[in-house]
Amino acid sequence: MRLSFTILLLVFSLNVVFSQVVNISKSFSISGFVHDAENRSYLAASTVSLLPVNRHIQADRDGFFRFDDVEAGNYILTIQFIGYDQLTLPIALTKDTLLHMHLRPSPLELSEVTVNGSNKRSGEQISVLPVEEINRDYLMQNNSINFVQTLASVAGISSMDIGAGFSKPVIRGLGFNRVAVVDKGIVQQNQQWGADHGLEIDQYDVDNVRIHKGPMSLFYGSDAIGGVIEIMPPHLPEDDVFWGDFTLIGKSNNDLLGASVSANSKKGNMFFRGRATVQSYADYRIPADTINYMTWRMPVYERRMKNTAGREYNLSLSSNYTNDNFSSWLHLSNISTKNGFYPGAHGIPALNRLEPDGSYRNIEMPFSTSNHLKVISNSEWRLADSDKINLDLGYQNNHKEELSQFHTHYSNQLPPIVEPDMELQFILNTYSAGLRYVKDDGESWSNIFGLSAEYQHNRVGGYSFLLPGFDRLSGGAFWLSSYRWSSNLTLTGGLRYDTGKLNVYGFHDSVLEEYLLMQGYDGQEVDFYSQRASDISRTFNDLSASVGISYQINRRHSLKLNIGNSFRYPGANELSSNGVHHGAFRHEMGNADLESEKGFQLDADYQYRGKRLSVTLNPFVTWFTNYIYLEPSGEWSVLPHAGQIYRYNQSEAFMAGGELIVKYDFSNRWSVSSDLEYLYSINMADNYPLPFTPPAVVTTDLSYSDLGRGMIAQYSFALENSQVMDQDRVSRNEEMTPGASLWNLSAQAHWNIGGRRVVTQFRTDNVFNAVYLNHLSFYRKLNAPEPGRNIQLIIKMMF
Amino acid sequence: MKRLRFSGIVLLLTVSSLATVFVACEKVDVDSQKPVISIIEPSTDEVVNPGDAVHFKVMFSDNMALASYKVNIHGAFDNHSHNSSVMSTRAATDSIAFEKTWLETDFTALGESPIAGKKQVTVEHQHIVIPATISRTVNGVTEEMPLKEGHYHFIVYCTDESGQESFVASEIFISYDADGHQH
Repeated sequence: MRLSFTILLLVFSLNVVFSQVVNISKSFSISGFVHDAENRSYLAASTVSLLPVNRHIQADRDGFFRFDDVEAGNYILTIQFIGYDQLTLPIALTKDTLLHMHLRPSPLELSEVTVNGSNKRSGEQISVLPVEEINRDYLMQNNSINFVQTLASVAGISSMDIGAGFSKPVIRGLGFNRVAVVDKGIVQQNQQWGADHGLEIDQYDVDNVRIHKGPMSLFYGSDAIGGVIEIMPPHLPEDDVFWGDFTLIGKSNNDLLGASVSANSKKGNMFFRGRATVQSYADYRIPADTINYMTWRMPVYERRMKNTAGREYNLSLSSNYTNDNFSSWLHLSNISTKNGFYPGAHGIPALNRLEPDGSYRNIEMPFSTSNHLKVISNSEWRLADSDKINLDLGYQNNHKEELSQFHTHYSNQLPPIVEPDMELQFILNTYSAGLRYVKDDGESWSNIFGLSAEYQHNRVGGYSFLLPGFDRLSGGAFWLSSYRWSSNLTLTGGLRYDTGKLNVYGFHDSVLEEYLLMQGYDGQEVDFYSQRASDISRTFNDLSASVGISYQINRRHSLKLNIGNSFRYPGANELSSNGVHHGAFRHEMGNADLESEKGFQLDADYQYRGKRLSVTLNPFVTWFTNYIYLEPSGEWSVLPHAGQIYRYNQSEAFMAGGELIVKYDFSNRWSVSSDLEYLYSINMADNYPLPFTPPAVVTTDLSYSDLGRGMIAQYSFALENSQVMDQDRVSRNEEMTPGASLWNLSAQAHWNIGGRRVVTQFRTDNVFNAVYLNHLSFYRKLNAPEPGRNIQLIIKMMF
Repeated sequence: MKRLRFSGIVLLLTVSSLATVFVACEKVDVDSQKPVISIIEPSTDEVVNPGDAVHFKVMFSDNMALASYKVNIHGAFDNHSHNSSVMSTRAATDSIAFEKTWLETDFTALGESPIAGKKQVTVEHQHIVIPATISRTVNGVTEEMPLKEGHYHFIVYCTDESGQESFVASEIFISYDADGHQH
């Protein structure tokens, strides 16, 4: 069978530049950059031909080419480069055109398939916020333990880790419900408020991600206050084709073994795709024999964090039907995970619980399980001209449980008869709908009118209590507009109105009431503690707006400025919780009077693309009018294991910082790049920094890539150093975290084995097994260092 | 064109320098030090008989000013963890694990002077009494139960005026036998 997988003409940013000036001679220019589709570098000296006029030129050192004075009409553009597939693109020239061409290395005898890489949504992107576009190859090169840790290699993104298994994303210091993850148009709702809840996404099932740094409420409503991680739909090939891959994953630090297999088939109007991923890992290793937790010195036997093993089973299926004026996707996915908690995750453990139990791969209590089921439908009707209607529908079921051998502080509490060890259970059902009408005059003005709605239904169970049940209905109407003032100046803006209704169902803890009465507390005090959540019904109305300007100063320099506001509805925990949070060791008390959190942000994006040097600078300033935070009250809680009571409050807060990315290509093979990310935050009410502010990080990469001979089609090496600065600007009662210097190595090769492409990715993280703490990690408060050296190998076989 | 490019860069520099200036100017000193607690008595694994008072001698200090303190005693039995302890409900039905919280106000009501406002103070008193028995009411029937014997965590919390909080944990051994146990 001659299965083909070559190609890839990814015309990502179809930066079609319109000429405002009426050109009498009706001649235009075609220019573009030639990229390597595998590693995103520019390809120098490729041959670019324009047919039928038989004009041939060579792209310059940084892959740029330009044909001037080309008359309007139909052309064929071909790009040839030794060791790469020839790329052919038909062009109907009606305006000045700038293209990004991505060539895939292939010395293999494979027939050519054209994948329609121009992302359907790219035309709809009306935003001048900094956007980081990440493709599958980047995800593979930077592959880390989970999707979020892989993304954390991007400047401005950090991961909040819960052990080595699962993590939550943080964009510029904003995490939890301040970041939205959008999967194929639907905002993922997986109880992201919880400190020990990870993001459920199969990283092997992601082809393309866009990371939007900055306020995105205009697009996605509540929660997108700090930014959005947008997972794009898979690419749809134009021709009938069948392909797939089989990937094997091995990681030494936690003895991870994984496999992922996918199959894709396009026939006529139909496209099918499926992927299954299985991962199993054991307790992770840390470079320390003891952990100093409070006044205890806890042994770490065999340098492995007891009971941090986990499993992951993911399945996803997609289908697409496309005809001339209609296209529809149906995506079905299920992510199922089970993760052990270190016995000290919820308090100081008895020492005997840290002793080895004969297996590093077993998962004993306490552990958590989560299952995220998602059904997404995306439909698009193309109307006359370039107008279209999009309808996105989604259903999500998130089911999380924490199991821990029955325990209680209240001598009067008896274990439940059914499921006696289920400490906490959360079941969240989310129904989402989004409708957009895109009006594009094809020249200079495009508009999007949209409506969105979401209904959340959350129920809780278990012998402990953390979050009350709630229902939330929210909806919004928006208008986004983009106006191309001239060939190099674009103005964008938008307006959105949202309304949300939240009903929280109160909970009276009769066991606690009885216990406190037994302890001799008076009725009023008993009521104060035993009302663990009160009935709350609130309605929130929010207006968001944004204006921006995008200015292509010239071929080398570009500048974007954006000012906008965003909002976030307060969560049920922030409004009504009352009691000791078992992971935070704090008595946290909700505040029923909280208003929506609002932030105004000014963002800039400056890019310089020189022949060898490229520079990106993304500074920002954010001002929150009412940032929601936990404020120590100075009043003692009488509850066991709580110090003072922390009350949710809101105040003005300020954040500033940004990212600076500098890349220099010494030659076509050698390059060095350096990223700096810095964040400053302050709570204006008490002058303390905001909690979970990531430290400044400077990451420097030295990389070499070349085409190979014989069996090796292409290979690359990289040496990376991450210089993590001390974080001594901390919130009240947050620990300062010392910095660290980390070294990573990676090597990637594309092999041609028996006419098949095999990609191998080898990585060593934390080469020197350095002891370091992640300021954002869940186990930071245990003073548990992050995982030590990890050697990983990924083998991906295409068929 | 040149001019536009220049103005763009100027605009950018303005934004970034604005941010930098703001950052540089914002130098408000905040108290970043937590209070320090040192438990002098009870000593580690000190034996306490039910019905007796614990000899409490603890030194508190802070760089600015102390605010208040709290004491908690609870069982440190098998599988115990600091937020979650397996209590007598499963293990034993003939005794009850003791657990109690004392706030500073419980002691000041008995004549102790508050620590608020002080930078360093050693508090010494015998107001922490371990009861001889615990009364339990199940289905309306009240009975006096003995305390479960064994290791108990003895935890002292302290706050300072700016809301910084710390705690220190020690262990005591509660036993009806005057000698307690031998380690």
